[in-house]
Amino acid sequence: MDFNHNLFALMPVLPLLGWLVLIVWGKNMKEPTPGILASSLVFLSFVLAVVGFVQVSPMKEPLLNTLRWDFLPMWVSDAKGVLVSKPLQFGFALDHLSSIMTLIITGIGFLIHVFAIGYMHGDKGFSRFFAYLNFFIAMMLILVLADSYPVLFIGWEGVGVASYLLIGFWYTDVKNSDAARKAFIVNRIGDAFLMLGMFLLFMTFHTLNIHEINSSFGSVVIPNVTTISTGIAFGSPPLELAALFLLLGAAGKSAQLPLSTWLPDAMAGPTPVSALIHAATMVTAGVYLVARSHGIFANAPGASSWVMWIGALTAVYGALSAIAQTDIKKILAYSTVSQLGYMFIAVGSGAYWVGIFHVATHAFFKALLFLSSGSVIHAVGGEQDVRQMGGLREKLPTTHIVSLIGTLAIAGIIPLAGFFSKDAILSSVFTSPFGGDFSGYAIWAIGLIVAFLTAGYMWRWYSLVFLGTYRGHAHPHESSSVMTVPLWILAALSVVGGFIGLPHFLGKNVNWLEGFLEEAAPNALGFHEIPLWGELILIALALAAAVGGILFSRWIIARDGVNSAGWIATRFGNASRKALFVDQTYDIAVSAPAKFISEQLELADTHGLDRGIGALANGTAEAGASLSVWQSGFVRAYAIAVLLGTAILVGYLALRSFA
Amino acid sequence: MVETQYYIALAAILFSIGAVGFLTRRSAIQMFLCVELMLNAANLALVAFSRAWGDLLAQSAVFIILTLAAAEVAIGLGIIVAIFKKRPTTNVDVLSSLKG
Repeated sequence: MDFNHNLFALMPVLPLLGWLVLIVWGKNMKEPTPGILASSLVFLSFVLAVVGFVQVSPMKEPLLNTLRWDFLPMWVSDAKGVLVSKPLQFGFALDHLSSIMTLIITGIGFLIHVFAIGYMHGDKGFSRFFAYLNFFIAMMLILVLADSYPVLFIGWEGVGVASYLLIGFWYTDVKNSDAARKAFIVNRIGDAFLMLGMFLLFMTFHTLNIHEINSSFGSVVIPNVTTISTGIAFGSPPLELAALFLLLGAAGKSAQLPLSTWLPDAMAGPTPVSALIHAATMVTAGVYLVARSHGIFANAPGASSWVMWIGALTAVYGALSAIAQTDIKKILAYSTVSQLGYMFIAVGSGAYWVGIFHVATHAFFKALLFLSSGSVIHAVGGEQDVRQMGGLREKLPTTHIVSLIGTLAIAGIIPLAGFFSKDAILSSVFTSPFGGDFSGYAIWAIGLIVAFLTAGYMWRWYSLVFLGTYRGHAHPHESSSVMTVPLWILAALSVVGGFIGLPHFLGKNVNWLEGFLEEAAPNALGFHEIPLWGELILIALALAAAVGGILFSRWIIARDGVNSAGWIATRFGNASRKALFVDQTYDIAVSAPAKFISEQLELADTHGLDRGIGALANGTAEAGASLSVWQSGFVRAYAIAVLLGTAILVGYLALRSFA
Repeated sequence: MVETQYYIALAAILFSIGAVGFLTRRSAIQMFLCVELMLNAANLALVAFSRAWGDLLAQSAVFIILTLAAAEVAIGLGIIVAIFKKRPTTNVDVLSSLKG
């Protein structure tokens, strides 16, 4: 079949259309209609994504849409120092990397739309919810299809807005709107750095087209694009700095330290939102950004090792925070933070396909886990405290099975999806060219500890919710099939998702994903080779960590009971429950001084500025009132004044000419 | 040829009549006529000076004043008519609602 090559550019247009229709006419629609409309538009986008995938698969170059227009006038100086107009074009490009992302976004997005039809049943804002979801999908697609940083930035900001709107979806509770604001503001800090990064890139490369920048390193060749030779050397300061700015931007969106605090609070939104935006897609935008800018990062070893370290610290931070949470969604939220850290380790190590691999597998099992907890919350009447659950294995058989699959997948049990991607991350960081003498091994060790912790807290999550006896007071019932069918599909993907990236030693070309992304996101140069037995040891250790984590968790729960009273009361348990006091630290270090300064400024404003301006206004009014007696209202009085004034003036002039 | 000072004297007399009339009359229309008188006194003086100095500049100023005066009459009479429609009087001493 031969499809138009501009077809893929319709992908973001369809959900955007849905958003428009639902925001204008949604209020008048009866309940399932908005959900069906929104879901089917996303499904159409998914079909387009599949078509695009088929089109782009055999190609070496990205598919560029031909409907482009200049949207930012820009000038660069050529070799002679003459300013040349080089406007930035609004255009989309579909290459192998963005194709994978569009499949994840529209595919999982569609499943979550369908799930939400059941989950949001009876909500007052039913059509508003689907309008926002469609808006999010459109913006996320713009983000991944953008062929230049400013266009990417449009999507970047758009998903931020969608995230803000959906976290604060139940805005009548001030806690939810606070969480929404927090997410938006923290993201904004990252966005500022992303802009700084763009400025620096434009200064250095004289273009902001992503493919031009990447190809100026010689890794990708694009026809019809004249690249201005920049002579940017491997590891040169502007490159490192630009990469660091991009990293900070990515850290904001992907909730990495030090900008991680917004993601756990973002769970205030409805559960499908947590699944779609705050687990499967939007938060992986940072990982995508680094993989997308692979040319820059592969040539910036310093910044790349920063990416790895930030990822490693975030991974261990998220895992430590997750183990003592009591909210069913908070556990998964900190787990997401931790898994995002894993993805940063992967892209920092220079193996960009591994990062995208984990994006994909994590999207499967984390969306599954979030939707399962949505199903559980739905079943127990809105309760979110895992201590009030338990024993749901018999009551929610479907949810139980898929949750168990999700738990084992994220823990990294062979042969589920998480096992392969986690193993790929650990072995890529072990052999990374950016690790130096020590970092690579240290981060590998951290990764192993995190794998142990991940298995531990996920088993705790699973057993507190599903095992034992029911401790709550509701009457749990299994969800309807509109909710369980997406769960089954995601569960199936969590089982087989790992087979797109099998480890090398199983044979040549067994790793489909790495080959697929070879052109769009090639590995950095200089990975070490390790012998087969070394690779097998790495895999065995990763598996041992996962199994060990589960066994340890079982032992702790058996010893301390569901409330885990024994160790939760310890100083360590307390620290974990408070997420290692990061929020409190920010309160003391940032919020309190800012509050103090603004209070002082308010005092200065009310007592200094306001009073001064008030006095000035009153003085002027009084002076005016005293002068207004002259405005007598009698025309003849004015006439006399004019006449006398003229007489005096003329008399003065006459006398002066005589003198 | 009549001496220039006679013209100036006539202009001064006309101007004074206009000024005194403007100050003493209460009817808006009469005051308006007085303003016209003063304007034409000024015109007369300008023409007289123009002849005395043999310079046409002042005469051209007179033409501008004539046209301006015509415009002013149109607007001024319009305002008076408008006021008279709203109030039963053109007595300017009564019309003092813009008093400060």
